[in-house]
Amino acid sequence: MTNATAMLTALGDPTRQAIFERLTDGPLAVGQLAEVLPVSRPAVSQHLKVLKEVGLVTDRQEGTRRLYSVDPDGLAALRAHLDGFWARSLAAFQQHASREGQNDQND
Amino acid sequence: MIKTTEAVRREVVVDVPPDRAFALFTADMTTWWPAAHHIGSAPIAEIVIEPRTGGRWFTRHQDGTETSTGVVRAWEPPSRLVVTWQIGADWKYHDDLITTVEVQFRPDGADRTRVTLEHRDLDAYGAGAAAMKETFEAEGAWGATLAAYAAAVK
Repeated sequence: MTNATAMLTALGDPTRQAIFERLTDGPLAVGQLAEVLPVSRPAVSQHLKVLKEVGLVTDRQEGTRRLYSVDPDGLAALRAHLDGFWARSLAAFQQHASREGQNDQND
Repeated sequence: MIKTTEAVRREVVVDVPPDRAFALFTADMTTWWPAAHHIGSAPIAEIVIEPRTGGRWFTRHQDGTETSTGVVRAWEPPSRLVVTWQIGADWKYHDDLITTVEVQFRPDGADRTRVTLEHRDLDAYGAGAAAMKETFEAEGAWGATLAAYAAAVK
């Protein structure tokens, strides 16, 4: 699996998606996430672990708390995914145009 | 810290003149668009770019549902098309997630067209946007409208 695919798979889970959305507003601790989401602290921790493994989330210790935030490097992988997406799309367009171009000449 | 994500740029040369390339790219999108590239609950029945500035770009699926991709920002046949791409990491359309796709069609010799595509404003996705949002909100300069979260497309 590519990074981007792993990220998308990780975000396929609605709870992880909700956690991730919360983190885009700024860093939060596990307890803060558990307060606003209908899941337990251990469940939040488990989801954060998955998000961290695929590179979407990063964490740092601040005093007694561990704060989780969106990983800025994750964006680079997603950009690469988009790049591949457009490469495939334009190749498909090119093929179609060349077929149609030949039809135009035969008309 | 504001992180700027470089735009995605791609180009191809096609063996038809610009007006034909523009027409095929837009009106014929259903035919050439890779079938796997959709976000709906069923396969693609039809992809529609309404041929005017302000028009919608959407997909009609085989189960009768529709999914939006964006809106037309500039409809300038035969040379230029600008559309928004508003699909998030959850593979859903978002009103407040705005990235931009600009496609230019330039003559490249007789009866050929160089098609360049730029997908920009990618900071609207995720980390970059989140960082900017924090920055701007801290300075009180912006409202809470800077969009959305990290994303990808299918």
